[in-house]
Amino acid sequence: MSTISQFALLFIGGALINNILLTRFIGLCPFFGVSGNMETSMGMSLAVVFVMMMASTATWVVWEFVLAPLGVGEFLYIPAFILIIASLVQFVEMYLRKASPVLYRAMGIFLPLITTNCAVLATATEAAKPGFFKLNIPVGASLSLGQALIYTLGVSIGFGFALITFAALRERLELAAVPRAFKGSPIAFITAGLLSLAYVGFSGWFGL
Amino acid sequence: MDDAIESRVVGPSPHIAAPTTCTHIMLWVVAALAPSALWAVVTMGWVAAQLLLICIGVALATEYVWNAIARRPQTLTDGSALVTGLLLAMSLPPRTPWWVAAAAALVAIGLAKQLFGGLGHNLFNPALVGRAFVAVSWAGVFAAAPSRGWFQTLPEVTAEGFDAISGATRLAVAAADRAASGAYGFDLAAQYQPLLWRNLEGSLGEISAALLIAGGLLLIVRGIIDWRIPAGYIGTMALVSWAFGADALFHILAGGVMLGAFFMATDYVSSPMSKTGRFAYGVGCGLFNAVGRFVGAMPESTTFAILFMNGLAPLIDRMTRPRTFGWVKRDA
Repeated sequence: MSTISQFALLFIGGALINNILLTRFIGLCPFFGVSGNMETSMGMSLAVVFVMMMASTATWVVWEFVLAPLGVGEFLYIPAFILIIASLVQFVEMYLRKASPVLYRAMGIFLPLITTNCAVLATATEAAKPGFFKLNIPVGASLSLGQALIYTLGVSIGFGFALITFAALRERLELAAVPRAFKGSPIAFITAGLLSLAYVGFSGWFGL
Repeated sequence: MDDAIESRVVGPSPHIAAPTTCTHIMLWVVAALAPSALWAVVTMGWVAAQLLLICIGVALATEYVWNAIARRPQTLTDGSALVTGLLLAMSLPPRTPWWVAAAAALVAIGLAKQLFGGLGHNLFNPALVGRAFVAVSWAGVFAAAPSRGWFQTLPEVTAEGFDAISGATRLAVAAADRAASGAYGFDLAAQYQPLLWRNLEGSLGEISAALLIAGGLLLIVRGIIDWRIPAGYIGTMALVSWAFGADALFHILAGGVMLGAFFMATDYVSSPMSKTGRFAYGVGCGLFNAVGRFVGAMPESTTFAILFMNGLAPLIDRMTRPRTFGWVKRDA
């Protein structure tokens, strides 16, 4: 399989077929938390792309050059990755606040919210140490850094796409005559369920 | 209950009252679908009539009971539950067990429509939600129904011994051939005639593509559905099938494309409002439907393609919002 088609499969597999929100059901707190408003969900999507890319790079390097060679990866990877991701994001947030106020305003408030988010941890873990999601991606036992980053880009864009889609749906729900008992979160959960039903159509694409 | 009429310009009074009401539109849809449904009953027999009765009956009953419990005004007379039940039945294979069909109708009206506030508020096409729900919940029933060959149990077929009829749908056979050898083991062009006029494999709505096209054109001519959605849908479907090196005409005639493009995707509430948006929505439906057929695990993906685009419709509306007359577009 050529490199290009491997990259394409990693991207589509991460973004649509194994959409982290709607088929894996990971990272649902930001999915329901910020989707009430279009602007915040856009800021959140941007922040997730940014953080996931950084986190995957960091965890890939740490796994490849520290944890795996020392033979401690199998039982130390979760605490190690959480610490690395959380501290990295905090440092970047401090740096952004000083260096780039525009970027900070666009996504700054979301950075602390997702430092220890499960979706970020799951994606960074999968990029460094594939096997958790049991993705049937024909690339061998481990990903190269380039493959890990393409995969992470796919997952984070899939996250943002699902979040923005859901925000647009919820905006329409505001005007719907939903029975009182179902207003707000209940109908949002049902809508997410129906959206997830639509994503069932992607299961098995390319044998993934 | 607002009547959804395309591009209505509201000027100062006096206004001319149009006779077009919600009921009026729904009955036109029923009229456009009736020939296909009747032809399905004639050719497939009592099983098709049974399925139609169950779906429509349960849909109407759910609507009635919900409104009674929620103390809302009864909406049976607007015809929308009738259309949902009819569309649902047309999307199911004839030998669907009655309880699966009933569950689909219950979910379609109860979960996908009334829970969101009734007609005009549903985010997803109710009939498709019902179908997708049972297709995912009882996948075994759906997988078993065609391969068993429901028509072989009909007395006149077993008597005459039609041993050349295969049980699986043409799309399933085509998908299996493609997976096995990359080439088709049967003549695709020879399937145009049966697909157009009398196709016993697959769902009720696959009985005759020609009758569905006629019904769809009638709705377009009457101004009830927008031509942009079916045109974008079927056009993209043909183009993508051709790009995958398949027979484009076979792929638009087989499966649920005609029913989906003319009757499912054109649902007012779950499709975009702007003209550009509708075309883009149709193109999206065709793209996901066609790509799903060629790379997916299932031979057909009409239901999920349209549901996915239903989910995108509010976003498409946001992106294709028309400019207010006299206003200049503000730079973001």
